[in-house]
Amino acid sequence: MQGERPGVRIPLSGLLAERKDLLWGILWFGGLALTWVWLDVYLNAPARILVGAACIHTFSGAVAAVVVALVIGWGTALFLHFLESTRRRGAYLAVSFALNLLRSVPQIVGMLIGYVIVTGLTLNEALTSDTSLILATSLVTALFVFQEVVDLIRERIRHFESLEFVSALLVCGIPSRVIINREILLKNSMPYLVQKSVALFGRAIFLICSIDFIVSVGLSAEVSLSNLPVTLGSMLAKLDSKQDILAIGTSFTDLRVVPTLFVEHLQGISVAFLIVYTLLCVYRIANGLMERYRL
Amino acid sequence: MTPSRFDISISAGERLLVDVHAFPIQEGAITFLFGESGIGKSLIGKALFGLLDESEFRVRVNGMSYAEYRESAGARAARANGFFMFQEPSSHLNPLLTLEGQMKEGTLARAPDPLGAARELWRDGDRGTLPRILPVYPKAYRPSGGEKQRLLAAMAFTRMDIAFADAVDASGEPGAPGLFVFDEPTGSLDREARDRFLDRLFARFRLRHETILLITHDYGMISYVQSRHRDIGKDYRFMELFVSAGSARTREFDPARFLTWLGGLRAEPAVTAKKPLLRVEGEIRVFGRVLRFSQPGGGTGRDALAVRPGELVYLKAGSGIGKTTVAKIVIGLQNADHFRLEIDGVRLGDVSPRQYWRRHLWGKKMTMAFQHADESLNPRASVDDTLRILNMKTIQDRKGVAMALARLFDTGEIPGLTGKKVWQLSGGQKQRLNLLRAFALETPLIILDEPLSALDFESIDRVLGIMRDARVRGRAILLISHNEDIFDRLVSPESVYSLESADPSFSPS
Repeated sequence: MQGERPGVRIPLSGLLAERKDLLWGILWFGGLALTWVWLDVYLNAPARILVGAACIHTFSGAVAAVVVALVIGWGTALFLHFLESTRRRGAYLAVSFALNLLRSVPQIVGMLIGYVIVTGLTLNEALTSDTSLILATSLVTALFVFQEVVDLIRERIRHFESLEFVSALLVCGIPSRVIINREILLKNSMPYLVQKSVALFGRAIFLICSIDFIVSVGLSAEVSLSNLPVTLGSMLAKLDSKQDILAIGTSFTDLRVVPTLFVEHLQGISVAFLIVYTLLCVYRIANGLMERYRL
Repeated sequence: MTPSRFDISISAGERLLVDVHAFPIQEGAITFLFGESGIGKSLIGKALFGLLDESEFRVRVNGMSYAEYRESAGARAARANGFFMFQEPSSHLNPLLTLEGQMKEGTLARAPDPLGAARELWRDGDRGTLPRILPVYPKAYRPSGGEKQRLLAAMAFTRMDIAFADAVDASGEPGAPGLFVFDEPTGSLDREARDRFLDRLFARFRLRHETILLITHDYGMISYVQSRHRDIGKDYRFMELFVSAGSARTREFDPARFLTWLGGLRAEPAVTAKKPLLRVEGEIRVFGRVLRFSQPGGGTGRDALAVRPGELVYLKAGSGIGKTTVAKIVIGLQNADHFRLEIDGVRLGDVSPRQYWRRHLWGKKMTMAFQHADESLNPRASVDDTLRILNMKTIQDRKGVAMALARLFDTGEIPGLTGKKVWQLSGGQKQRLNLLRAFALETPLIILDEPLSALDFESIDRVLGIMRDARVRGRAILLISHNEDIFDRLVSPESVYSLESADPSFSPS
């Protein structure tokens, strides 16, 4: 009774059919690798290096934004829970109001304002290295997505506080902070947090690319992105990429252009592909995680 | 149902849940099946009755696929002429139909008096409550768990009556026998209601020998059945399901073993000299009801419940009266409109700040083991984590955990247990872990809510052992339990309290 049958192995095809997150993760990495091989063969070296740098900056910026959003979100959720459970109503209302005010700002508008500040800091030479610039832009991105983490963590705490095991731990003298952080969030909410992180990663890529594209196309003559690290969004706005994307449009009416797309117009097409393909795969991974853990 | 021995294997995915061989179900006899919770008793009952969902479980019965077994003539007759009473009454009842409607639904409508069996199960003095609950649409909280159980038992009895009437009408030609499965039919009943259920069951069984499988944790049934129905002793048997080498097996359970053990229980001497560690004044107002304590022999008054160091105090009442609510009020998890208590010289009441319990009492002066271990343990925590989170000096490492577990687990069982997650444990293992956690804290007062539920006989004996040890070391225990057969013998009458509701519209189960 209750024994596990030893040595049972699920075939890879069955595993991938069951775990769509894994399947789409493999497809994503595979797609990136194939694209890179193709670019290595057909794209000139300076352009290829630029695409590589744009990928690294975009993805590392998105990862940093997710990490910062998790840290800020976790801390804010615990702070709000503390204010609520200790009945500090005034402070609770003030913090909630501030959060709602931030929530009411459209993400794109908020991030544009943030980028203006980052650019200002760059011009004043407060931010000089690529790393510090990526972290600064990630912080801006995180400020406009972290409330999703706050909402998730607060929902998890509320759900578990209605269950008996939290009461049972409390009457054993276990401090609330241990119960919330270790027992509720780490032991019982990891799939939720991972799924949320993946979804935020996709959101961050979308926002970074959108903002960089808007700014690079020329929202303001005074704001120059020449000192900001190149990203997939800013690369799309470059003249070469625009011509490549124009070629895609031409291919609909002139089929002779189609074969040239994959060898002559690679920069813009591969950048556009990398953005769209990444967003699709990340979306599918997040959905796969939801299915797998029945979130 | 013709074969009297069944080989049953049940898997979910790659996980083997049950694998029993030669499980004996004697046709025309009552089989009592004991054993700790979560090792597969209910699954076996459902498999035999043909209730398992093939999309969820892979089942084989006597070498047949489940579809073949379900379609066999014996299994079809067992279902058609039998009844399955589910363990959780709320899941059995239809919330969109009144209770009276459900008592007269389907084949039950053929009975000349579909409510007759229900009336048999209510105390003479309480029969007025039955007409009040019959028009009710069942909800989680109404009627009480005990009332729901009695209504479900009444449905099963009505089904038996119909089978008996059919056999008589057929001029002595008995119809194909049905299978009646009662899964924990008395879990929410007090002893008197449980005994009435058993008497009515045996009365019907004497008229027509149906095939009955009665699944229970209540070993106390043995003493009642043996004292009242021993004359048909050849027609019932006691079986026990146990886990050995990772697989569930059955064995005959010798009633003499339990009866000898029960006879050997001696009441612990009452403690009167010491000042009470806990004193709860005799009137609690909660949920619009007034709850009062009384002691056997004394009238219901404003007596206070007092628990002294080294004392085992037994609080009993029918299901749904509010024993657990009182325990939660004492431990500070539930507020009430009015209550007064004194713990270790500090007076507390309904206006006292909750923070006092949190800062000064929980885990320091008192703790509680909740009724449902399933719900009171973190399912994602390991056994090791569950004990080490207490941060006790004696449970800092694996060795300390193993020593703590050894109080309620077999030594050979421990190495494979510590790393397991709580959700992987059987119900009985969870309950033992739940109790161990409460005892490990060594608080002066421990509240135990149904500590013997879900346990097998060996575990019950061990739990009583650690309760005795705790008492000897001066710990006070406030106990809530339906196991009156055991605790009425073990607790001195001076330490037994009854909880009663002063609300005239409320009846105990």
